[in-house]
Amino acid sequence: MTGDEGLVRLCAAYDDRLGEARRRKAAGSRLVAYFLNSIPVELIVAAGLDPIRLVGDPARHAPIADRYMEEYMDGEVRSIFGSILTGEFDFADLLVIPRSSEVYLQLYYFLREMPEWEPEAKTPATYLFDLLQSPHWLTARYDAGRMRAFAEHLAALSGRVITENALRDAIKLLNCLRGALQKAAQLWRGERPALDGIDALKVIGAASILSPREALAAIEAMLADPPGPLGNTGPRVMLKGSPQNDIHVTRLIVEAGGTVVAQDHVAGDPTFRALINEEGNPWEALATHYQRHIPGPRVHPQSEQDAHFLALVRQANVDGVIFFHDEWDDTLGWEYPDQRKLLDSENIPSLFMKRQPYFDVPAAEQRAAIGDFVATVTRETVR
Amino acid sequence: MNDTTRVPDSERMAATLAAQAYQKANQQKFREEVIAGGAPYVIADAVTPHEIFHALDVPVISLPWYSAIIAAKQLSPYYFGLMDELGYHDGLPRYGSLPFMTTLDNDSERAPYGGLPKPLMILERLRGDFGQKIGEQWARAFGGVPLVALDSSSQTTLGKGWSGRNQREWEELYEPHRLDFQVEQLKGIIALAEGLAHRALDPVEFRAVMHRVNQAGEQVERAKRIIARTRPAPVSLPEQLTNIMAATWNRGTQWAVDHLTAYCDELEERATKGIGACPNERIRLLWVNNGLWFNTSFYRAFEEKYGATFVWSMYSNFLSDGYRKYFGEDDDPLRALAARHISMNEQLHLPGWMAEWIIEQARDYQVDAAVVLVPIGDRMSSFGTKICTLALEKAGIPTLELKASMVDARLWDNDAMIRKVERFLEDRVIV
Repeated sequence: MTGDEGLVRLCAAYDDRLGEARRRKAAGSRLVAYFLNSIPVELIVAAGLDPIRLVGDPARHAPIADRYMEEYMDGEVRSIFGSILTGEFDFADLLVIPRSSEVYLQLYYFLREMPEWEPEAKTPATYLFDLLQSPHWLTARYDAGRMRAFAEHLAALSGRVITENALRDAIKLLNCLRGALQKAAQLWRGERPALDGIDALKVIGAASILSPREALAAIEAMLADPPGPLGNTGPRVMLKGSPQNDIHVTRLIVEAGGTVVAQDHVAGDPTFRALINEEGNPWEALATHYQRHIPGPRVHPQSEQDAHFLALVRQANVDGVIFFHDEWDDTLGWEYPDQRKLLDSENIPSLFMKRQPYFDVPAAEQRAAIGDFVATVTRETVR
Repeated sequence: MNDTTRVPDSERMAATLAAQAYQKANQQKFREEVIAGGAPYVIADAVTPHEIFHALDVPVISLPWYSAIIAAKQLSPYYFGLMDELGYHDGLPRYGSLPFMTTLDNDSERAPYGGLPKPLMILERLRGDFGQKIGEQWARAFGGVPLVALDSSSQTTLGKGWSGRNQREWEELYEPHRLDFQVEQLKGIIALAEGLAHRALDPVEFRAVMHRVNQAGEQVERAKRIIARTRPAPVSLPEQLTNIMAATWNRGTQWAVDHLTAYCDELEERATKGIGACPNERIRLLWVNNGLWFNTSFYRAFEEKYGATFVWSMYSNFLSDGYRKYFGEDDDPLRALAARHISMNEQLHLPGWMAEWIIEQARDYQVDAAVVLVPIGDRMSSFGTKICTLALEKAGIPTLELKASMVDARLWDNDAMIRKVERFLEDRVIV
């Protein structure tokens, strides 16, 4: 596989996530679909099942979802809920929903109610993975128990008990994938970026769409045979805040002349920040990783998260930061005043785009705000 | 916190006056002992184990209680303005943030009761995603106090009939692995509280506190039976709330048990004499979801014209139906305490459990219709309201949804809201 072919494969998977899922299903895979970045994929792999991460899509807004779910729920969750009810995720042998975000927990409970209200809807079997992320030893013990319970559930589905060796192998494989992404990050964060922000987002996203082995092969091909540097690049921008599971905002920044060098959200660069400890007990290492080293809205203390944020700003040599928060955000806004102060202390300009709708986006307003910001940062950078 | 000040003392229940006097005396004691005297106290979210502190004789300031006081004193617009100024955007949750804003404002002249001094600890339960974010900043604003964030495990299944099972079958209902975790978290709180307050938790007193909470719940159940069977209802909703909430915030005390007993005795007496809060009662209404703390007079706005009166709100019976947890003399009361909180929000706000319980209440209280508050700016409390509304309608109970903030008076258009309810009564309830 050439580097170009690797990139094409990754982008194609990103662009047609559901098509990719259906192809694998048709080829005989037993698909375990999941949301967010807090499901231990290692267990799915160790059980001999095929993991795929699903997301919402602003273009998929099924009216049936609005019949039951409040408008204040994250747009992405409403989109997912609608997709499940209308059978768009029917390829999944199991849908795993993490507790690492309140709205996803709600999604789980809403789905549990649906047989009563929508008996015709063919929703896949669901499983709640009750991951807690408070930074305590007691929580680690709780999570270890939940890991074991999830492993048993997967083993029952696959007919294969998860052995310690199988788990170690899966951890190694997923660590290789994270390590490959860390190296690949130089292609968008480096001094002379070779991938624009859109392709970067697709590469990061595709790593959890393709099977881990295929994603690893494609990224390694790209690393062995990297694309050349981009032509003229504009100011280096970080996109931060609510999950960006589609390229809309990134594209607006690129079109405004910005170079997106970092994505600081749960679908961006932090997804491959940390590797799982391969020494010692793999169950404990797995639980610790997902409890302490996976970004998410419930993770604390905030000072630790802000230190990661600032480190990424520096690593990527960021000229400006765009904070982009979902319309119904009730969480990230609490962090913003302190994060803004951190940037001010480093003389890094920022733009706060609060309460942005998921569906029916005000693209013209967004384009204007981003355009003005990129132009301002460009002037500052030149100066 | 209620509109009973607009009602002459002579028309209010003696229990209501007693509850207000007790609360006033408590506030005075809090000023003297904590604010002036520097005695330890704790700031705690509502869904946290206040019982531990009650048994340690450490006062607890409950977040929603203080939020409701701020709202009732019409101070919420000022503090929300401050929130905007400090860069916290206008979509952030309002209910729990008001007390935090009084600390950032640091103006004891403005804040209720002179503002909150530095507490022993801030106790949160991480049901939503943001509690720890507010808590961390608040702890820092106090100059550094411990933030104890109880993590919130989740129910794997919401089996049917929780209200009939939760008082005695709670071990099975709430899932043992979750109770194990919660008990360990509670032990951590006890150790920290003992260390900080230099007091030891007396197991005998703690057990007694736990029993007294159950006894208080039994009285609330008694109140329900009286109100449900008596037409016209012998108490208005604002007076119900004053009595029930005073006991809820002081749960575990003998005063709460005695007060609720006296309250029920008085309800019986009023029922016997035919004294009703709305003498021309023709329509009974249910108020679903959080209280409208800055404007409880709204609950009575439809009595004169329509004979329509609210007889129930979420707070009327949570202490009786969802909070009592019985345990034997050989059982660990700490596990029963764990069971009190780990699924409270599922019971109040999750589709399924919420709808099931609300319909039970509607039937018990013989209501004709329901009004569901869909809170703006506190979306956690809005989740599940659609399915609840659908379920009420399916059960034959006409239901109106009202979108409003629970605490932000700026977002409330009283005339428009009254018109909405009036239209609903005329179009769907009055036949």
